[in-house]
Formats: sequence, structure tokens, C-alpha cells
Amino acid sequence: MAGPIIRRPDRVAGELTAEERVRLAAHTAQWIAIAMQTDPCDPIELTRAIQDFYRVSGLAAPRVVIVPSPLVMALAGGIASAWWRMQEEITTRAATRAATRAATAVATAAATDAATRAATAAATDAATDAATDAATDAATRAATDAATDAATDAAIRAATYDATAVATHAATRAATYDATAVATYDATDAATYAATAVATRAATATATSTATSAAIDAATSIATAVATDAATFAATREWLGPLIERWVGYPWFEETQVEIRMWPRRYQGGNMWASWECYLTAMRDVLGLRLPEHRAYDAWERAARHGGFRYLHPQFCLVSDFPSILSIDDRHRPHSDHGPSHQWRDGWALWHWHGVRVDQYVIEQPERITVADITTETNAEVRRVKIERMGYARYLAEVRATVVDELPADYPVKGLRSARLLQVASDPEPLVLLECLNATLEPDGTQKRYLLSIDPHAYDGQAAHNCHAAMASTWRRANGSLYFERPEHYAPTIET
Amino acid sequence: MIRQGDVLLVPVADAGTGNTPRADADIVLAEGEVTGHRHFMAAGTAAFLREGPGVRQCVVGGGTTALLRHDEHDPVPVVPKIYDLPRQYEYTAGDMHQVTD
Repeated sequence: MAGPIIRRPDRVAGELTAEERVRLAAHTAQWIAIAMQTDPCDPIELTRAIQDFYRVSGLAAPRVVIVPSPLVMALAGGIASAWWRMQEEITTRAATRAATRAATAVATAAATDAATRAATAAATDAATDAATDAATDAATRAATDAATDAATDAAIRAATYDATAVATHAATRAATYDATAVATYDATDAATYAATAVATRAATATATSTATSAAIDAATSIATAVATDAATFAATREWLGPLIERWVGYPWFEETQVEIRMWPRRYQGGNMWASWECYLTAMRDVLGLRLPEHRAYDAWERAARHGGFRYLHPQFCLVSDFPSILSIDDRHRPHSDHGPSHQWRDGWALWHWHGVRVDQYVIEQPERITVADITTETNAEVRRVKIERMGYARYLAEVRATVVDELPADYPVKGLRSARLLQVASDPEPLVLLECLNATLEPDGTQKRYLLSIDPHAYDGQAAHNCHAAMASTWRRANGSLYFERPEHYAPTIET
Repeated sequence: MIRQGDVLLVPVADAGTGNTPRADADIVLAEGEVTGHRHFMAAGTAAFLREGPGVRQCVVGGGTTALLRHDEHDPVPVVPKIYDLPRQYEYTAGDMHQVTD
């Protein structure tokens, strides 16, 4: 029982009314639109929101830098963090020097100040260049030079590296993240929880955050965070060297790499975490809750309405602009059959086929997909997409596959129904492929087909001639040994 | 025995009636590299028991059925048991590598 309907500024309980459900649907649609927007952000409103957000959290106003994409945010955030740490170390050392070096210290401070003014913006500009390069010609970068320089430098610097300082700085930045979230979002969330009845809360959450999350998450926070993480990791290996050298110097190469890779612990989602904002604001705007905590939450909410991912630092806050392209399919998965699913204004882009992230050519030039390309693809989902883009019939014709075993549509093991074992002539040994249908139906009633490459030697060669043995042979212990002693031991009773 | 995509749960023993370990965060059995989708059971319903070269196990305990979820697969109820968690491997150019989606 939901109990009596209560709608007071300090207490909300009881069932949602029909009128409230209508308003919640409109409210949710509004936040979905905020998450999916592709117009440029308003820099004035965004800067004001971030500065207020730091202020209500008891922190000094930061430099607010609006960057064109989450990738630039991650890179520039790491580089600028390393730069600030370097300046702090320089300052600390200078303070302990003898008075006779005062003139030098003054000069250093002056230089530091000048550099400080330019640092964040400059690092951002450079990272933008780098990100754009990565999107266009990453493969042609002089990766070897950078890696050699980094390794040499790391060896020289290792003896003076101060682990304590790093831990202290990490704690400082974590505190910035915590202070802002605790003072705004967390406080409001807790107060909202305390002021609402469980049934009302559950119904509202379903109508708002769950609905918003289902509509946006795959295309916003998930896709972007996964891709940014992958890109920053690749960037630090392949082409970040010159950038780091330019801004912090090779003695800080490793620290800067660490700072860059730490970005997932220092970011907040902005409009890409809209599902949470949708819920809290619905409690306020639709159900009428008015809590003291809403005053501080206002700055967090505005930061979510006006900007994307943000990187928090005691001295600065980098905020990503919205993408210029954000394309999804009818199941809200990132997807485009002719171009990027996501693109930001610096050119950084992502390509997806029904939620699977792929390289640009798979979408825009599928004629470039070759049999060799598919054969060497190690990710099963990407391989499936490549075959789909090439055309299943064309692929099987090109590899000249012969069917060596086939199971009936009523085979007892659901995931092996209509499975086929294919053999393709290849050096030094034949390629054996198991073709299966996904156990879970697509919404339109179809089933995805996928191929698994099989060890032809497993079970004394049975895996090369028998679908069931082939599938059983794919299940292994972490050391690579066969999990099932005999193929018939593989017998799932539930498959989805 | 339960299969959900590239995740397989093989029951090997009863979970018992005593206090069984329960993770305070979702336990993620596999995570897609290119989709970000996870095969997971919710916090408080299951926990990893062992993870080593020869064995990888989880437990669903406390008498409560857990739900194995994934965005692209139907959810599966998982009854209280201790489960082996073999991984799915493919064979390419004479080498084995783990299947990821």
C-alpha cells in the first residue's frame, strides 16, 4: 500500500497521480533532450554554473576552460594537472633555498606566474591539436621517437621521483571531486531520500531516471567514457610524447601519463549523467519537494544542463562542449550506417553499428572490408559486424567455406540449434568456424548470426568435425586447458 | 548449467546454509570491450569465490536467487549454488584468445 498522498515541501508520499505521471513523462523527455543535444554550449552560463558549483562546495573559484570534446578534457586535464604539480614542487624547493638565492627565486616565481596564466589554455590547445591528429593520422606519428625519449627520461628521473608527493596530490584532487559532489548532488540525494516515501520514490525513479537511462546511457556516458578511456590510453603510448615534452618536459613524462590515465576518477558526467538529475529535479519540480539542499544543488544542476563531462582540479575545471553529431538506432544504441555516431567540434568522432564501436571504414567504406580483415579480428562482436557489413553470403563465398557438420533446428542445446561447422582451406592448417545463432531474439524476431574460430585439434580432432565438440572446446580454464573433459558434458539448460 | 553469451555458469556445489560471501558492488562476469555492456549480478546477491589459473568461481548464496543481466540478452535467474566460471576462447593462427564482445 502506498498510503495517503502527501505533497508538502518537506515530505512526499503516496501514489503518483495521473496528472503527475503525465508531467513526469514530459519532464523526462526534457532531460533526454538535454542529454542528446548537439548545439554548442553557452560558455557564459556554463562558466557561471561551474564557478558557483565550486563556491557552494567551499572551494575557490577555478579557471573554467571549455574544451571541444571529452578526449581533449581527459588529455588536457592530465597534462595541466601534471603542470600544476610541477609548479608546486618548484615553489616548495625554492622556499627552502638560502637567502642568497632570493633573486633567482623571484625570477622563478615571475616565470611561474606567467606560465600559470597560459598553462591550462595552452595545454588544452595542444591537446586539441593532438586529438585531431589522432583522429586523422595517428598511425603516421613518430611513436618510436617519443617512446625512446620517454624511456630514457624515465630512467634518469626514477631516482628522484617522490611517491609521497604523488599520493598527496592525488588526495587533493580526490577531495575536490568529493567536496563538490558531497555538497551538491549527494546532499540533495540524501535529503530527497529522507523526505520521500519508499513507494513514491520507486515509482518516480522508474518514471524518470530509469526511463532516461534506458534512452541515453548507451549513447552518452557509456560510449563516450569507454571510447575516451581507450583513446587516452592509446594516445599516451603512440603520440603524446611531443605534447608532454612541450608542456611539462620529459622529466615529467611518467607522472603526466599517470595523471592522464587517472581521468575517470576525476570526472563528473554533466549532461551525460542526466538520468540522476532527471530524478532529483522531478521530485522538486513535479512533486513539489522544496529542500534547503536544493539551493546548493542548483549549481550542479546548471552545470549538467549547460555542459558535458567535466574534469575537476583545485585550480581549474575543464568542461567538454556537447557533440555536434549524436546518432542512435531505434533501441537507443549509438548507430549510424553512413558516418560517425558521435562527433565533436574538434573532429574527434566515434563510429558505431547498433551499439558496437568499430573503425571508420567499417561504416563509411565497407567495400574495404576483406576476408583477411575479418579472419584476424579478435573481437567477436566486431567480427560479426564486419561480416554483416560485407554481406554474409559474399563472405562465405569468398572464403569458399564447406559445411562439415550441421545440427537440426530442434537440437536439445538451444544455442546450437541450426549451427553449422564450416571449414576453410588455409595455410598451414584449415580454418574451422562454428556458425551459431544468438539464443536471444532481436526485437524484430530475427536472430544474430556469429562465428567462432575453433581449435581443430581439441578432443582428438572431434572439434573439427562435430558442432557440439566444437562449441564445448571453446570453454576453457584461465590457463587455456579444456574445461569439459568430454564434449557431451557441455549441456546448458538455460541459454539467452 | 547457464549460458548467457560468452558467460557460462556451471554449478559445482551447494552454497550451503551458512553465511555466504556477498559483494557490496555488482559482480561483473564479463564486460564488452566495444559495447561497454556487462554480464553482471547485482550487489548483495553473489560474490566471487576464487580466481586463479585453474579455477574461477562465484557463489550465489543466502537462499536468494540472483539475476544475471546483460543489455543485449534476456535476464536469467541464478539459483543459490557455487558455480565454476570457465571463459570462452577462440583459436586463431595456432593461438587461443578469450572471446570478447
